[in-house]
Amino acid sequence: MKSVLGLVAVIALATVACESEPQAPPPVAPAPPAPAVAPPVVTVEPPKPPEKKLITIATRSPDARAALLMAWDLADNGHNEEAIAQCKAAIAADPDFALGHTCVGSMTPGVAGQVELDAGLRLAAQLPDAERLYAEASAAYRRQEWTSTTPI
Amino acid sequence: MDKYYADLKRVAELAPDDFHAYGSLGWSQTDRRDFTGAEATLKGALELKPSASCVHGWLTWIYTQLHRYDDALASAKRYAEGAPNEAGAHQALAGAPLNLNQPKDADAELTKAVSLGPKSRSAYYDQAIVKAITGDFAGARDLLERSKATEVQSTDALERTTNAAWVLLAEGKQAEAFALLDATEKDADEHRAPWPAMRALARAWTLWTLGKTAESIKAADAALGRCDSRPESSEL
Repeated sequence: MKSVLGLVAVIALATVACESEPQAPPPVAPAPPAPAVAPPVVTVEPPKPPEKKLITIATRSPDARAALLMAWDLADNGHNEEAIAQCKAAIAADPDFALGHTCVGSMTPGVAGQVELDAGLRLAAQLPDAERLYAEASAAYRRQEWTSTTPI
Repeated sequence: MDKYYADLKRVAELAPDDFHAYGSLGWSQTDRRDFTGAEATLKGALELKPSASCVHGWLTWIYTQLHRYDDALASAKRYAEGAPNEAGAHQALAGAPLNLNQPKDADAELTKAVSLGPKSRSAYYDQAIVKAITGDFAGARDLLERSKATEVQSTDALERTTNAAWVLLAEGKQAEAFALLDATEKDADEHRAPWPAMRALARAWTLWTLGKTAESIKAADAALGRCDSRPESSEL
């Protein structure tokens, strides 16, 4: 008897279990039409480092720019003779290179140097402030535009 | 404030990440004899470009001007560590023993400098003066003679002849020294040389070391007249 009751219980449970199986899903509603333009893909980029604020070097010639940078590096280490050769190479590559003329003028004594500095000044007139002021400072130094600020 | 300094100060403000802007400003401050300001500026330049060993050489000179000889020696050593093959590094290293009255050690460093930088005119001049201090006048003259090969501009000879006058003075040849200074000054004027007071300054110091105080002051006044109120005349 006990086993018959048990069998009835098992059948009942099985029936319940079968009845609880998921039904077939209802008919799916038609999908909305795809948009003509795909939504934008959003990606998170790492923050860029702030742009460095440097003296601009306005020249159309990469060779002129490279020669000027080398000249500055040589002059920093006291190699003025080699530096001036690089400055002259910079002008040869770009005759309208303001800082090239300024560089030659700074390292050339006398009137010839002044002529180059003045050329640099003229060519720098429309350039960004830092570059223009650098050319102006170099020319001012040669013209000895000093006022006494230090007790003598 | 002079235009030269004001412009470079503004350039450094406009281009605060530019090593060259800071370096130029630092040099302009040394012209104004603002050595403390120059030290701060050049340290800023070094932060922008730590590989620029030459800045340690500039700081060596500044510390010497400030009589901070320990700092000068430390900076010279850092310059030589960073750029062992630069003549300038060994010129910087020569300064410390010279200030400690050890000219032989200075001479050894300058021998290295001349060897490493045969085109470096100032290395010849520095060693010539050290040779004169040690009484090796022939050696001094030989170095000045060899320095001629490094001259490329018309005014380059002026500094050599000024140094030659110092050598003659150390040798006790005062009349010849002053005659050479006279001639050099005339040449400098004709060539519109930079640093117009340089020869007059040499004359003033020469007279001072000879104990001719009144004449020295007169020469210093003449030097001031050539300075056009340039700030570096405060060196006088």
